[in-house]
Amino acid sequence: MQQVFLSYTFNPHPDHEADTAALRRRVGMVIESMDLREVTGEDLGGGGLTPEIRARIEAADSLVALLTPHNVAGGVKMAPPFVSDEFAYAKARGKPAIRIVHAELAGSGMYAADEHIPYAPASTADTLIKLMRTLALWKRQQGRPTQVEIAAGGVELPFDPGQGHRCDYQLFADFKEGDWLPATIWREPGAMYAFLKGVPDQSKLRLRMMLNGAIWQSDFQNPIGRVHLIKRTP
Amino acid sequence: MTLRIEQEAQYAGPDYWRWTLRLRGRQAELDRVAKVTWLLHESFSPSVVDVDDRTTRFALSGGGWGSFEVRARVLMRNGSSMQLEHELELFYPEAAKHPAPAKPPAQPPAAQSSAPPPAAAPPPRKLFLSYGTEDRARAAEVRRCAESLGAQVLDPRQLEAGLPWQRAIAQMLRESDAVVGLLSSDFPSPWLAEEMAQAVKLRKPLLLLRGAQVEPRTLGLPSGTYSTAAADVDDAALVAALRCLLQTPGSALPGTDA
Repeated sequence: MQQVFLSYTFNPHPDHEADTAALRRRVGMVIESMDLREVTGEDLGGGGLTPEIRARIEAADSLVALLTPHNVAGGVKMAPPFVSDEFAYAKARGKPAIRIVHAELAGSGMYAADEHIPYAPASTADTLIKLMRTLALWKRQQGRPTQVEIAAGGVELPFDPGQGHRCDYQLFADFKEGDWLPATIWREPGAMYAFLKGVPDQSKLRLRMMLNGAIWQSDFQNPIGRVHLIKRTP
Repeated sequence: MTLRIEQEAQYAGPDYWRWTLRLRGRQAELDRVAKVTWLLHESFSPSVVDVDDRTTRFALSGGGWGSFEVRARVLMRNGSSMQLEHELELFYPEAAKHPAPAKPPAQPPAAQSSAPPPAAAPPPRKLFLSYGTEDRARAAEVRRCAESLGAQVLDPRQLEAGLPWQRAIAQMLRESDAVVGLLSSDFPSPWLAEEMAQAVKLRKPLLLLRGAQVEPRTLGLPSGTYSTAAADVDDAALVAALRCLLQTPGSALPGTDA
């Protein structure tokens, strides 16, 4: 796990501008302190659940939603609808997601019954500690980003995504095989590497490369160092 | 000690570069060098080459398809030694816009018999901007000022997900001409600290914009590898500092009158 999408209102209620900004800043610092990267839709200018926002949420490994009072006409306070939409979208995509819910909004909206972290501006420490524990749990479940070197018995594999080639990896843990997940290929001088988004501790790994009908695949092995691919006959 | 590694590289195409590495430093220091052992990427054969020709400044020439980290073990005449490092940078000829891919390897290097003329460096134009989430607002101002100078700002937050971050950031740093780090806290983001350390390793001109109470040594960078300015300087002073950082002698940014 590397990337956390941080969802928050860009239009806080005037009574809560300062505490919303402080919470957003502190949550961002917690995310970075956990050796994770924060992603937002800030540079996209806010707005609805646009294709660009959806793409960022899909690319991120998880989502943290800040439900703090949002400003609407007439000075009414309400939960920010875009934040709720982004949270719902992440949940629908199977991403780990958590809401931090301002005391004045507690118990409202979709997913109100879901697990959440309560937030009161006067006591943020508990909120941040709970968030850190949540992120730590997600990191443990999703595993760490890993890079392995690809070896193919001296054969230089002509991997080219533009030719429709693909590389996937599969994990084996708790006596179960996981789904095949896409790996990113990365070249360094003298070697080719596969980047795997998340490998939990104690998992075994196997790698598969498909090149114009030819399949090169490894056996399950420890997810460190070099992975040896062998050409398989379909 | 002023010794460091200097490089020249010419695109020989397609996707192939010829390069020369040599020592650079004061004449008196070069005179004290007995031998340089060049340590190339292991895909080179040979990957360890001794050169003792002072007249060429211990030059080594070779060729290859990609960039890599070069190390040099410098043996002095008094028996002492030191190690230097350098990231070989290769660019395609069209305005040096795109760095060379990191690809294997190499043509066997050869000690050079005479020193070729130095190649002109491309004008610096890309600014890598590193900051923690607490400095987002200030980062936006730095970006605006840098862009007003015609510079392109490289922000690691713009990297696509799914890439190996450390590698992608290293590539972005290599591509940059200068680096600015925003240091407003004594406990900087681990990403900021890592990016600053890499910038120093790559010998990029580095400017730290620091808060009043913040000591740059928090980052553990060697002294002399960076300059500093107050984080809260006004726009005019910030633009001047960025212009100074981005310019090299004899080159100017588009749209500036330097």
